[in-house]
Amino acid sequence: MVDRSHLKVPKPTPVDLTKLPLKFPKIEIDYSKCTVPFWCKKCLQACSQLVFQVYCKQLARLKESDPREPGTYEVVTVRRDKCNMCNKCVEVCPEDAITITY
Amino acid sequence: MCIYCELWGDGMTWYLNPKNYPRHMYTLPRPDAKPRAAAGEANPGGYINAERALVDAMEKGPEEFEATLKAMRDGADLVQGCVGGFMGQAVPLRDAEKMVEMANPLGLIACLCRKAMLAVEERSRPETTCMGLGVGMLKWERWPERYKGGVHWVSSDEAKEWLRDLDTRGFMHSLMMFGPRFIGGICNCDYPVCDALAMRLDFGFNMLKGHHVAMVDHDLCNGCGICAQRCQFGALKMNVTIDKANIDQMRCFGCGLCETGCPRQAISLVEKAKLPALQEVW
Repeated sequence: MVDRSHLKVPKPTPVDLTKLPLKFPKIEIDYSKCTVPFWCKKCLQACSQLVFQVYCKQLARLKESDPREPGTYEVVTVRRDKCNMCNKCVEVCPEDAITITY
Repeated sequence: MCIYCELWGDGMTWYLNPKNYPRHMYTLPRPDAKPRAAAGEANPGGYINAERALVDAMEKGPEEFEATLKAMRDGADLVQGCVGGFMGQAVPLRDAEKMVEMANPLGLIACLCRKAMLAVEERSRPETTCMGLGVGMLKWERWPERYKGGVHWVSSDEAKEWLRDLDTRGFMHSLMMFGPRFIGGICNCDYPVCDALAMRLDFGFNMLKGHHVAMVDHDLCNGCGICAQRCQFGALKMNVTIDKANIDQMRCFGCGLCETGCPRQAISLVEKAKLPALQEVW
């Protein structure tokens, strides 16, 4: 690793370290039910806090998989720290794949 | 002085220095070379995993959080070699227009953040919100089935028009880098959707503030509030007591959205170099 300590890199930390550890809601997704998230995208659009992200799980070289094919994309919970437990994603999910616990 | 100017500026603003635009980065592999794993193939969702690790570390405690943040800042997880893990800088519209004059070729592409966050596929030219600068875009053109939507080539005049249109819609411009030093594109971001901006505002890394800050002329301001709608950073608020706009320069990123949106030209961008107290605020 190159030593870059002499450079004046700004170090803002908007996260209050004295308040850690924090407790966040646990969001579980049943991947046997949720198979085509990129095609469905209901939870992604319902969430006001943008907790979820979707990514291509099976990335073939020089080709991206078909979003309509089951199991190629996967929706994951990234920003659980922003979840306010409004349960809108649970309501809109057509497969009832999402459960939120605190 | 901003850290990038210090390293690569050669006495001028670093993103207006033609040296920092790639010209020789796109190389064809030798015929006998082994095929390399494409970026992301070995570790799909690598960026997402790093973000999830950060949120998980917040649940564990301050020591774990700082260690994870440090690992991300050093670029071990994200972008190899980027100084401090920073990947971009906010640029006002006028500088973005200078940038598209300098770089060649220019290609409009689909935004990866919007694809991951909202599953939006920007497949046609009017939908695109991201611009790639330089020869790296030839790769996007070669494999349209890999890079969804491909690339729409534009001239610098068309690119300026496109930038102004996005500015009217309220997107904040920022440059992004492909690896250290080389400017790879101009992003047009808004707060919760843009990953880089969310990381910066929530965790404090990934993007630098620009070289300008906005100032209000209270004699010209009529309190219409358009600028307050356009600010992505919570820096511009309406001062209700006197019914004028008020800008917190410590929070201002210098994106210039309030300036371009103001119908009375009451807001102007001031260079940070003229304000001594802001020299360390990046």
